[in-house]
Amino acid sequence: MNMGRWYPTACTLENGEVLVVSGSGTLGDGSAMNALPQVWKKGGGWRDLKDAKMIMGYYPWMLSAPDGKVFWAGPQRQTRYLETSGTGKWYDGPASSIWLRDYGSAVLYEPGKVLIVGGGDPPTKTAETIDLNPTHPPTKPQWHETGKMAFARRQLNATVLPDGKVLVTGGTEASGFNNETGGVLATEVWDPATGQWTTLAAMKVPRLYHSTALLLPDGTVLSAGGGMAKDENERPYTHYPNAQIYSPPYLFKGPRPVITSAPEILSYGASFGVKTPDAAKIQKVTLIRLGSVTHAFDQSQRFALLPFLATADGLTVNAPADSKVCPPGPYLLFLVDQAGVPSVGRIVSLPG
Amino acid sequence: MAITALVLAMLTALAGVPPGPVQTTPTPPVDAAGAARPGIKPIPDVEVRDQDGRKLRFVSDLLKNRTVVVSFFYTRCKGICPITGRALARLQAALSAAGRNDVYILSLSKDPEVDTPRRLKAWGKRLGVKPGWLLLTGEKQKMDELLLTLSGDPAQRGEHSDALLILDLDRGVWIRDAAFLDPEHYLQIVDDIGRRTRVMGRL
Repeated sequence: MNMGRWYPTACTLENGEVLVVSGSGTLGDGSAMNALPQVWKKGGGWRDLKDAKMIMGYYPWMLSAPDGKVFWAGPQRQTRYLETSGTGKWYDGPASSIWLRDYGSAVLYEPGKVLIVGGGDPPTKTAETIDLNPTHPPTKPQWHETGKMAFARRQLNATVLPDGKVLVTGGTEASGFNNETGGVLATEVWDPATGQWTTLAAMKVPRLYHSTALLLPDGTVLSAGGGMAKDENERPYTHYPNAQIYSPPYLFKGPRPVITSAPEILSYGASFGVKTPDAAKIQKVTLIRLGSVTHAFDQSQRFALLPFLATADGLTVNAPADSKVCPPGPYLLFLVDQAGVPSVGRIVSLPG
Repeated sequence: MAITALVLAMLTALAGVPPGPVQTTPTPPVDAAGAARPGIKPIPDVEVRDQDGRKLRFVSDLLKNRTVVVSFFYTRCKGICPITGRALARLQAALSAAGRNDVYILSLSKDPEVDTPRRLKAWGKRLGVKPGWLLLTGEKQKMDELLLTLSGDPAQRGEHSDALLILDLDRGVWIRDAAFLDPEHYLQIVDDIGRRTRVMGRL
């Protein structure tokens, strides 16, 4: 890379290349933000987006948009689109409503649809959505306020679940960078169909700065870490070198559908077979990209619904039509039944 | 009017004012997220010292009758502080070019027991700090009180926070924003504050 990148964001592009932005390196007498976006080329080596230099802060929320650009969703309110071809170019996007949702989270909860939630100081319980998909006639995407969480949260994690809902864990209601006195133990889940939040089971310990939450193949969520040992900077945080496994309500609604077999590698635009004895009761087939989460933001996760037909011994499923919806890489494939109960996920790959 | 009342009045006022030119989407009505801010108290009018050793009252000498940009740093910081410092240097140059020398930049040390005026002066010299940008320190207890009110944390080093505040207490404005954006972004806000014609977004 052109220089170091401490706290960068990486985003896989539709062609399998990887965009990396921001992070700080060393320049002169101290740290400097790396303003040059770069693209890791499929054949190896870096392409500099030299016409798109931008100081962006730590771990910017970069999410691939349906038109092939990458959407900078926050945490600042003024959003932008980055054209990653050639030498790069920025375009202005719509502003969200909160000046700074720092240490909030952003989720691509459906193709082209983004949820931003929490963050800020004092922490906010608000959340907003935007639909970046093209419309006919064309309209400019706008942010819309969705339901509010029951708890304001900063330093939270947001995790897309196999049924398409979004789980939030951890965070703090209290003002300050990482104020554990306001730690929120209760989890909440957001339903994109209603825009409403439901408060769910509480964790045993608060998880704030440096905590993580990751969807596991069995449909549970690993909630881990948080805090930081006292160091040379005298940060007085408690650290939590432990983890809990969260089981969402869908695991208590009856037997799980079973995937007997599924291909390991899918092809864009092609159908594939999934063997299951539960074909008649399957309501959704979903893909969720494997997560890579840190500092309240999962740089990889995305969710897609796949069309399917039931057959005698399983399902015929349509893979994503193209790589704009699901860029190349590894995904979890789930079958979700009429009661909302997901199968254990199968890891599948979309080749670049 | 007490500062708390001013802030609350501002938050209330935001609910009914239409959005302005920077903001391209309608601002939904303000909810309790701002009004219920934990820890909002009147900003303490404590004594601080700038990089020239001058003793100043934070509210009565520095906040009254002006728009200010408030940032947080410490001189031993090798992480975010040099980055935000450079951003503020660009902002000061832009303010000067726009004839807005009335807008002060106030950078408060999060390490007041180490950051003497002399150390502040040396740090400012490296960044080319000019008059109108005050680097401030003070007694630890007083700085704790001040920093708690402004940032939610007492004086402590090491956080990776790149937020700044834009305050105009006489107009009831309290904005918390990212510290790394283009100077033109902040100039627009400062101009809008002067016109008092638009919603400034939510806290």
